[in-house]
Amino acid sequence: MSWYKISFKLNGEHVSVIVRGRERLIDVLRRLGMKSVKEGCSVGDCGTCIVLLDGEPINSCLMLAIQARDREITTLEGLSRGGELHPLQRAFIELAASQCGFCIPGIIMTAKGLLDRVPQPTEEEIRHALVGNLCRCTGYAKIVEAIRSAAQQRGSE
Amino acid sequence: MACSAWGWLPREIPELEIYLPSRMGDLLDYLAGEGRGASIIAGGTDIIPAMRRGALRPRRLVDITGLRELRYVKHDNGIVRIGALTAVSQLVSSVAWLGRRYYCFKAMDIHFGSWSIRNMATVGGNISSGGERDLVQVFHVLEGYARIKSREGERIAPAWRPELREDEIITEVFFKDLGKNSWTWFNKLEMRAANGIGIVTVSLMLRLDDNYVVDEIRIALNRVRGREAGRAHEAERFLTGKRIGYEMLREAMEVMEREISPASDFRASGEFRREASKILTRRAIEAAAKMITGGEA
Repeated sequence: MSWYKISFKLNGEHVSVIVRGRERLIDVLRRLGMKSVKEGCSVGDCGTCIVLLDGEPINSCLMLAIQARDREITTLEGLSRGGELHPLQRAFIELAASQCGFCIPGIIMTAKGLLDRVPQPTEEEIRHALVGNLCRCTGYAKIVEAIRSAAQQRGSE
Repeated sequence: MACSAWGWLPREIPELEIYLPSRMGDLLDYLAGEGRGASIIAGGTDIIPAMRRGALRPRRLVDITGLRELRYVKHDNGIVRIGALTAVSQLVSSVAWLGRRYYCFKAMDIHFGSWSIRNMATVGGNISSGGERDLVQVFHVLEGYARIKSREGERIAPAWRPELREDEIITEVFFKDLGKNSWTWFNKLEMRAANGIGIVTVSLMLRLDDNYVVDEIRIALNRVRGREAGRAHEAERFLTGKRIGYEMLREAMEVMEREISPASDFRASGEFRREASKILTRRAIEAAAKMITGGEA
């Protein structure tokens, strides 16, 4: 059995962890307690496992953990600062944009990637960014509304 | 996950030894020596599902993502060069400076997976996987070539058919810049609005002369004969030297109808694919001609 020691930045902090060659990034993130990272389809179709790699959304079920060495990973757990929720999290709560909630961490991470790049996206841009995030409760209208609201809130801050 | 819909149950990825080269020379030595037969992982979007399906069971894997010098898109004396580790999203954004005529790359923003997949999937990976994959068709109409390296040296092969040996790796794809009066197109008919698998894909390169006559046209389909991807050469020959018009396009699509015989599968019948290929190709030619002429032809 092959084991490898890797280091990466997780939610702003350096972590060193021993991983098996076959372990995917999602496996290691969940092992490290990042339970917001969900496994849905396992093949990159559903987006529940999306995290940010150096600021860009990626599917953590399609990446081996060892490939995250020396990179920077952000999960939903890394969004709140000192107990203060991120504007996206606040907007999802205020607008009741979460139904069963399983897809929401992946959606918020995609939305974070989008707002960092396009601070005031149009509805079309939001829907285009979310193509790889499936919500089986089909609550897309509220989700899009929450992302727009968070963008406006950030713009007025 | 929708295992029953896919018809397979995900398996654990087998135990693996992973080699992490940081220099090209080390990688080539490894592939030619103790790592012979090892599989290569870059973006992971193809290989991880393949391992989970059990279609691929490598004992050794080489992670080449450390070779960051292979991530580039550049324009060098009339040649466009794309590093093998360039992510598809990087290819999409390169259109901003490469020129709007490379709409075929821009179209990947709509048709190639989702944003997260485009951030992971690499140009070299898509070409190496081959078959009906989107960039294979695109490089077919761009007449792109793959630079392939091994410990023995370097060779150049068509990017749409690199036929890699197990000790070889694609390091770059390059093609001649298309120049003025040209436009490219890519379109895909899929079951979903995006992130689906193409039933029909059409890639096009069109160049008109100053009188709006077809100087050169290249059409690639994901299925030309059976499951084989390729060019619609007869339709291309028919169109070359002619001025684009409604009647001429109708005749050209009749030529294409006789030329292609795509295979049926559970996604669509061959007959449907043939019809859809004609429609998508005609629309692609119309759109490209409009972009070149500003709507005059």
